[in-house]
Amino acid sequence: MDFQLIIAIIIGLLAAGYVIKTFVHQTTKRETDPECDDCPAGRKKAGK
Amino acid sequence: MSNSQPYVALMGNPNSGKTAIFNLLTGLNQKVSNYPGITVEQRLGTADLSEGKTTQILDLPGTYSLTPESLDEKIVASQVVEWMQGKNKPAAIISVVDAANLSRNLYLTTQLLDLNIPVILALNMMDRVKKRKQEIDLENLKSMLGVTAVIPMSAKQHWGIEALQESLREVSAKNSHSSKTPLQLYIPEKIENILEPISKFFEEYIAYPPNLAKTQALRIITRKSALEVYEPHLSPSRIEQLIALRDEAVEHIDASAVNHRILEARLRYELIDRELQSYHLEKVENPHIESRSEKVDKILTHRIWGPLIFIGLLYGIFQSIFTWASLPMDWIDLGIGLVGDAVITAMPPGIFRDLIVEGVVAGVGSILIFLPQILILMFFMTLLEDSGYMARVAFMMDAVMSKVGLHGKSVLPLMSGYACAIPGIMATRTIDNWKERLITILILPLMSCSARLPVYTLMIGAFIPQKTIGGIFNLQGIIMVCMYFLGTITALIIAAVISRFIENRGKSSFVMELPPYRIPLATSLFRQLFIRGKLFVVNAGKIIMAISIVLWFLASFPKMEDQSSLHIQDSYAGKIGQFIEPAIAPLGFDWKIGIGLITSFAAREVVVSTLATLYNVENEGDDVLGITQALKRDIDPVSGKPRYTPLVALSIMVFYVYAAQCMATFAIVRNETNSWKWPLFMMIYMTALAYFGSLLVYQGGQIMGLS
Repeated sequence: MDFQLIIAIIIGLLAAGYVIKTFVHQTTKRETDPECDDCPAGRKKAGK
Repeated sequence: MSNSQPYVALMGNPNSGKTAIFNLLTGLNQKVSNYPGITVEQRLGTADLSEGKTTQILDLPGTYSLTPESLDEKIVASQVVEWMQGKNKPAAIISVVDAANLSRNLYLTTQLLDLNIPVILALNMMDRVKKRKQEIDLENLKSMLGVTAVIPMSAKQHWGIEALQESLREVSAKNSHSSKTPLQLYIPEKIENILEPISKFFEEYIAYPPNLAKTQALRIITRKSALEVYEPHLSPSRIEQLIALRDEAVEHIDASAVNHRILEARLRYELIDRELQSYHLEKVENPHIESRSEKVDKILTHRIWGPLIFIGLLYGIFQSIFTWASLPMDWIDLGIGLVGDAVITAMPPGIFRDLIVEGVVAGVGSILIFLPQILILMFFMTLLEDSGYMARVAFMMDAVMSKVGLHGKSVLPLMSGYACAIPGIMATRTIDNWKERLITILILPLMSCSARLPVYTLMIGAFIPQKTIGGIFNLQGIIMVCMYFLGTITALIIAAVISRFIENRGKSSFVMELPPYRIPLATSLFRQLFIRGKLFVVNAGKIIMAISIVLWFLASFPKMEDQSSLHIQDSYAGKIGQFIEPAIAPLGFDWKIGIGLITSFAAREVVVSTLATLYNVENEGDDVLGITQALKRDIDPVSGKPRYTPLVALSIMVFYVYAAQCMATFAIVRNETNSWKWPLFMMIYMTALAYFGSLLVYQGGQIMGLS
């Protein structure tokens, strides 16, 4: 197989992997308390 | 902080210079600005104390008191409740105060003194006190408060930091303590008796010492929200019990003609004023002299002149983006061409070379060219923030904001949205009212962020003529300003609509400190530019490069047996684009723009690199084709007319003013609202706005005979 084609395919696969990883990371990142639905993070129902 | 390593907590009022001190102590580069609310989450750094010693510094969000109102204040209050229970206590607290506003800033310090943790008082902004030819008797102040040390300093002028480091060395060696008991809050007997059931509750269930239990009882009387921080430490039934005790105490206090909401504030300010007077420190407070900032404010926050000056400034900024950036953009363009030529010369013909030239160089280069414009925009935004002008904008806009269901505090996050929606959404944590915060989050992505700038400048530069209107106004600059105003005004209208459908769960008030005007620090200014430039080139650059590579493959394959016969329309990318083309054709968009709409979900500017890659694959020439040139040359094979016209360019710009395309924004909205409902709602309403806005422009323009 053409040497340039092999390198291009490897780079293409790496790039596709990076794009997928970025999308998954962006959509699944959770840093805050998941208990409270609908309200800004950290602000729970009792108290206010 | 969950580790057991000794550390020092850095606390203070918003805009007291806390972050500047954190940067000086740790050598880190956290953002410093001249408006309150820069630190919305805690952060940790290591301070080099010389003589081989180091200590960890925990920078907490600025707060006026330990009574939590907004999310950032809750971070502080929750941390303090942990300390009060003896969990992971700091070795000391550095209480940063604005020396020019001593009594107001000491309010928080007196609350910190209750915690039985050594307090170092950092008297920041002493340069302003000296400028007013005033003095503060440091020994008297130290005796009055009973703190470990009082350090006069100016973070702005970089002096006093060595004394603070020395004090920290002494604290970490545990050979420094105050000879005097820390200043204690006096609570009248009658109030103390009413508070007693709550105090006993705290002593029994949280194990507070008696004095701390009394002051904490007083705090939860003042605000019910102060109870929230106890939720992780008590069972639901105990919380119910505490709420009942509080409600009963509030009734008794109000019955004795004392307003429970201001009780702690009244007692503490009485204490501070009395003590300042008895230690002869009250002369530092001199509010009667009209400062230079107040004189300037008479013009800049004037009811009529203020908004006009603000609009004028925005126009000037957007105009300069065109005029100042053109030369460095030409250099970058030339550089990209040279890199492309160098690759062509150095590598033998083949698929890999095509990938590098048509995919990577063309794609990344087409975005890199907009770096000067983004840096110019950031330069002016940082200048306005650091000078203190942005805080005035918030003040001027408060009345407008409240009419559309927002808050004066919403202005600064919204203005941050001009740079990027993500820090703006995080900055909404300073808004204590849930409804106002949620609405601010939902409309914030309508503020034109710097990622839209490449789209606007590409379209304006290529299709809007360089005409002068009225002798002074440049048409390109006016169109640019219009795009920014379109986003902003739509955001306010949407806020007014949404606010009618969201239930309000609390009252809010707008108390904002107007910082004095300051000449921005050149280091802070250029640090911001460097960070922003790096974010654009490295972070955005990585995803742009990856998408350009993937797109090149999609646009170059499948290869036919006779490779030269591939038309881009027959490629995978072409097929995907043509599949969605019927839906976007009424907006004046062809399939290439359609591909751009998909790829730009990663970042809005990717639409530019997408077009650049597609045109370069199609071109198949031995050079890198400039994107502006490619758009101008594109002819519709059916009609024989140019595919891109000023009307199409306007339609594309309007689409991107409203476009929801930005996955990172959805992720942060999901984080900040703890729900997928709101990012989904945002995506739907923004996409609908973009589609119908664009449809209106294109179809309306055609009916009016425009092209």
